[in-house]
Amino acid sequence: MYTKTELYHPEDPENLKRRHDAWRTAVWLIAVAALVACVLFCVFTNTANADRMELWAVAVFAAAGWVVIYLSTFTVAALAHEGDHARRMLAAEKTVIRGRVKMERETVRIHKSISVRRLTVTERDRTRHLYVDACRATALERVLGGEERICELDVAGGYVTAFVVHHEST
Amino acid sequence: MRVLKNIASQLHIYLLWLFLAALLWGWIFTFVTDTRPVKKVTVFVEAPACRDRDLAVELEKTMPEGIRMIKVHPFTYAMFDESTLLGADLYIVSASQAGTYRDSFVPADGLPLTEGRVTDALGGIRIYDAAAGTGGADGYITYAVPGATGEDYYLFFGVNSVHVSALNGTGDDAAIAVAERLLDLNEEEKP
Repeated sequence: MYTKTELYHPEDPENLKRRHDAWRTAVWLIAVAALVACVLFCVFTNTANADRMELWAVAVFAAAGWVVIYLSTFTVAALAHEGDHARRMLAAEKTVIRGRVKMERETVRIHKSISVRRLTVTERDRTRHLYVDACRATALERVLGGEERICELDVAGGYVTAFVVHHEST
Repeated sequence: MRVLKNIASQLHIYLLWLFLAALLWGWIFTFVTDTRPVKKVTVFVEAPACRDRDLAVELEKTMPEGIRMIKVHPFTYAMFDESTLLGADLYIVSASQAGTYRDSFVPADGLPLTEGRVTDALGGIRIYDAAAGTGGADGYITYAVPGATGEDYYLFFGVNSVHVSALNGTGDDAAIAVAERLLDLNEEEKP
């Protein structure tokens, strides 16, 4: 009896939203803290330290901005996309596909969406490409072991939502 | 590794942000470190070298009432904006260059400050004596390059100053107080 591994769980959207809100709060706090620091640099400026204070203001503002830009793009936005994606996958109707599955090594980031790994699925009469969320690909990658294996895949909108690996090599 | 890749993909944004940060705070600090002419006394120095910030800090220790800051700049500070130079309260200029800027000066004739001091034909007060090798604020201003023949320097009051009412009838006499401080800031008070 082969065990089916689900990649999406009902509590995923809620967990992702919680993480998203926490990171978004952290980003805001960093931005506000940097602004407060820069205002304080202005307040405590005098003739003797003006150049140094300006340098500190630029350094703190630039560094905080870099952190905010990075987190906003690769964490906050990524979590938002993940949450939307998880909600869609949980709600979508699944179809079952059976074939030989091989996972590509590269991770591809879809613009304004999630990062994915591409699967090549060879069925009896055709070959097709499917995708698996890169954050959830580890489980499948582990059992595939870099090889082509016969799997049964639950698919929604071109994405794998669950799999069963048949432990026979090709 | 992934973090480095992410950073590399946005490098142009980070560089642009750094440029904007420098521009923004440079502009803000221009306002923070400046004030209206009635609240500051500005000194321009035409000398080989000048520790302008240190001199300003020293002069601010005995600021006249009503003055918030004292600004000291080399003449090159006004390279791209002549109005800054023309609006100064005090000028320290070499004897050979005084004639070039004469239209910016108001003679100090009749001021109690000139008593016992050497003045020149344009109404400036000698602040540096080249023969003696000493002068006012010479711990902050390099009047003569070592090894070179020096010349006298004179302190002039600005014709557009709002702090020389005894000379042009406008504002107060804060610049005269600062001038006196400059003339008396001598060797004993060197930092």
